[in-house]
Amino acid sequence: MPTDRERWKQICSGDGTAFNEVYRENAAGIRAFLRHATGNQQTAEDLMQETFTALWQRRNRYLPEQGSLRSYLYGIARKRAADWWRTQRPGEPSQAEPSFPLAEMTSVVNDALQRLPHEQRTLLWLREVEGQSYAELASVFDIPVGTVRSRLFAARETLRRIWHSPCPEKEEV
Amino acid sequence: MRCNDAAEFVSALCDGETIPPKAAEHIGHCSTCRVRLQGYLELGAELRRVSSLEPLSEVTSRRWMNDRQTPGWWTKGRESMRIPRFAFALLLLVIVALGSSLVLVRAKARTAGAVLMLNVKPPHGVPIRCALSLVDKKWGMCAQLNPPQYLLGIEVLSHTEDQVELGVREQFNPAPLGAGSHRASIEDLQKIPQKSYWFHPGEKLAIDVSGAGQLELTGGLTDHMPPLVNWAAEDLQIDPGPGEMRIISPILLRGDKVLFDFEGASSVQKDRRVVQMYSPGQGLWVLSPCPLVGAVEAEVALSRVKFKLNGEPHTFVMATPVTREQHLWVLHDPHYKPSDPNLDRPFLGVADPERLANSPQNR
Repeated sequence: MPTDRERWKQICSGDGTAFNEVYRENAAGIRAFLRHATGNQQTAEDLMQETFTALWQRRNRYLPEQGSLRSYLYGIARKRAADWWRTQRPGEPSQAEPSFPLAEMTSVVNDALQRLPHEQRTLLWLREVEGQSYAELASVFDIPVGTVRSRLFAARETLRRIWHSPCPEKEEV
Repeated sequence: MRCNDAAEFVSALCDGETIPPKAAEHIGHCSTCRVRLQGYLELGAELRRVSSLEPLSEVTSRRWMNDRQTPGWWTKGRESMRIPRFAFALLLLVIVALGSSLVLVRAKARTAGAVLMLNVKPPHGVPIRCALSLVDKKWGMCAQLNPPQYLLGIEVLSHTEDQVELGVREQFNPAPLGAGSHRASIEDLQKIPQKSYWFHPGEKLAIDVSGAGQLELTGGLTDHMPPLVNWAAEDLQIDPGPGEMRIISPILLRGDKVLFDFEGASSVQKDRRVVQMYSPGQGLWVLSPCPLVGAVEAEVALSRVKFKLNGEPHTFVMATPVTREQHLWVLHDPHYKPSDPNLDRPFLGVADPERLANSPQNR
């Protein structure tokens, strides 16, 4: 298994096959992350494609010594999602379809998750579902590791409060 | 520690992080914190459960074309490169060798240059200097035809690294030529058998001249053809010496019309000798530092010699200042023509006023 550095060396030399491996390994995760981040399946698909295209076109920008390739990818995806949110009008419900269309998925925890602020939601999702480490999260969100810990705690507390509250709280999304 | 203080560490425990001992101790005894821990764990588990229910749609397959990115010149320039140590050492050697060779080339140009500067001391007449090119045959010969008692021609035949093969034609005529009966030409010189001598620069070559003594050749190599062969390059200054008249590349103007343009150069001291120039169609022009019968006085201004002839302004324009004197004398013979039609070509040279080309004995 080649290391990130070896693989990136191949990619930087224009090796499309090596990049395709990275795409196949990470595309599904990135798309799922973006679906949670945006609440829209089609938007997630588009942003995922944009994320990989941006990575391929500007591959000289990634420096392996500054973090894993996966966290770098999620960092790009997070910024794309943030940019997408900026284009949405405040207060206007997004045109997104429910991110969990299946009846089984309309669980309380999912509903609560959607009520979290955008950054808390993505941070918690990356930690709990994608299993990213504090260091990776620090890289993705471009914040210190200590801040990752405090923000994760804040996200959990908010989610827990929403989840256990008898009536859905009007949390900002 | 209170529960609120320990809450963040409860969250960190969920993530598999280590926490401070005090926080760990509190959480171990605090039921509230343990309930919170349990709640966080359940939340995480629920999130993973729900995400596992998501449909696993295939990602769109894409083809990432092999694309050899060509970095810009700026990017290339900023990149570093690795070279083997021996290659670096070789590079240094090449630089040193190149630097040394430049010095060698310069030194070689001075010690084994392409021009042989000869000091010629004939058994008769005044000494002369010759500049003989070793590479250009056009400039590889010099001759002395006047006075005709001793004819001399020296030519470069070949050369090696440290010596030059000279072809010498020389002939002493013990009986003075009849006045005005003959003026030697190149053709006369060509009739004399040529003898070959190896000349070593820096050494004297003495050649016995039958019935007259010795012809002595000394001199060395230099790296260029000097503008005036009578000077060593290092002695040639733009300011003419005392009593000197220097003619280099003269152009003669009548009004604003160019009458002739010579490439040659010559120089005399104020010793009764003159410089004469002949141009077919323009006659013979003589410049003298001393008054001459029939000559007009000319004013000297640095490299220009101005005079009037038949009421028309004339100007000689030279490449360098002509003399320190304020005046020169110019003699013009518009009707002069060499007696030998083969010699009807431009010439510039030093002459004895008594033996000017237009004097009766030379016609």
